[in-house]
Amino acid sequence: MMTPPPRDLFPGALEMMILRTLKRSPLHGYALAQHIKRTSNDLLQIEEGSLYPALQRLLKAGLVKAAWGTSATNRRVRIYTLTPTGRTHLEKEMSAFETMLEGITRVLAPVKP
Amino acid sequence: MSWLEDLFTTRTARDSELSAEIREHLEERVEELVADGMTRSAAAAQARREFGNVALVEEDSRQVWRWQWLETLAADFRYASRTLRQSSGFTAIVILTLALGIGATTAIFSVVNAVLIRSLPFPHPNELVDISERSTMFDFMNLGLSLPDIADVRTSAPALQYTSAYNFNTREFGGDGKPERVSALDVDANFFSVLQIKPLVGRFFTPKKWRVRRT
Repeated sequence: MMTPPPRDLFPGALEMMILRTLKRSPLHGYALAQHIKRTSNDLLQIEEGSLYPALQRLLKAGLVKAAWGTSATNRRVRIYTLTPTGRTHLEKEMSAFETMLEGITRVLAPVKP
Repeated sequence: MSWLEDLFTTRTARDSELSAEIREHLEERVEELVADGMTRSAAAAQARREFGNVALVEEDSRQVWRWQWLETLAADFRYASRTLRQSSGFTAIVILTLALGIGATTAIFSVVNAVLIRSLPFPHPNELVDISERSTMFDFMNLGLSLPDIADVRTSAPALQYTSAYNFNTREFGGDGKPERVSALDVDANFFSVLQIKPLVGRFFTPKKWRVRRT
């Protein structure tokens, strides 16, 4: 096994962002990568490629489904859509993440004298 | 073996889909960068840099699916054994049928193999015949022939190139040590002509030494 490239994201973070993005509208891989990059103001160091294993995991778990279609620029692309299971999974993940984030923020907050 | 075909077709289909998808991704990025005024080669280099290691991405993506078919197979087996356990009578009959079927086939094959497929280790084995007598009074098969009968066969069956008499026997082998009983075959001198075999060393005995002792 090769070691994966260093990633600044915790496991599942990329999947969560993909699901959240697909909740807005179905997208193909490239558009998905660009959207995440743009929306995050390039703050996240994500290699575009790492999107694909994540998408395969989501496909396998039945959280998204894929179908070949045509993009706005008339390209043959694989468009990913959120499934109902994916929708509920995203909601659960997001509330769990918010709880975790709140906990971490509280601990990291400067101690009041 | 449809599940096996399914397995390979879905896998190859998925693999080529993935490769096509990644190729499209890179091309789309290149087009965009070129539209922004970059040269094609510089755009290709940047697209690859942004994408990361293509081979590694493909491998990681495939790895996701790798063991799924095995898990499916295991689940199928679990389901099958559970179903079989629930209807034990049916299972018993199926197992018995299979066992008898396999056993009978194996037995028949063993015979066919010995009789038809593996021929005797002599030249022209299909020309060898074994003659024996049969009692009509009692139900005795494979009775031996008397020496006069053997002589009769010898004169009355000209289709046979050579005839030879033999008799299963045992002999004691003993040198200086403890004697040992071995399986033996009493044969006449024609025996070697019938089987068309030659000794490794020396010679066999010849017909002149064969005599019927009359009492």
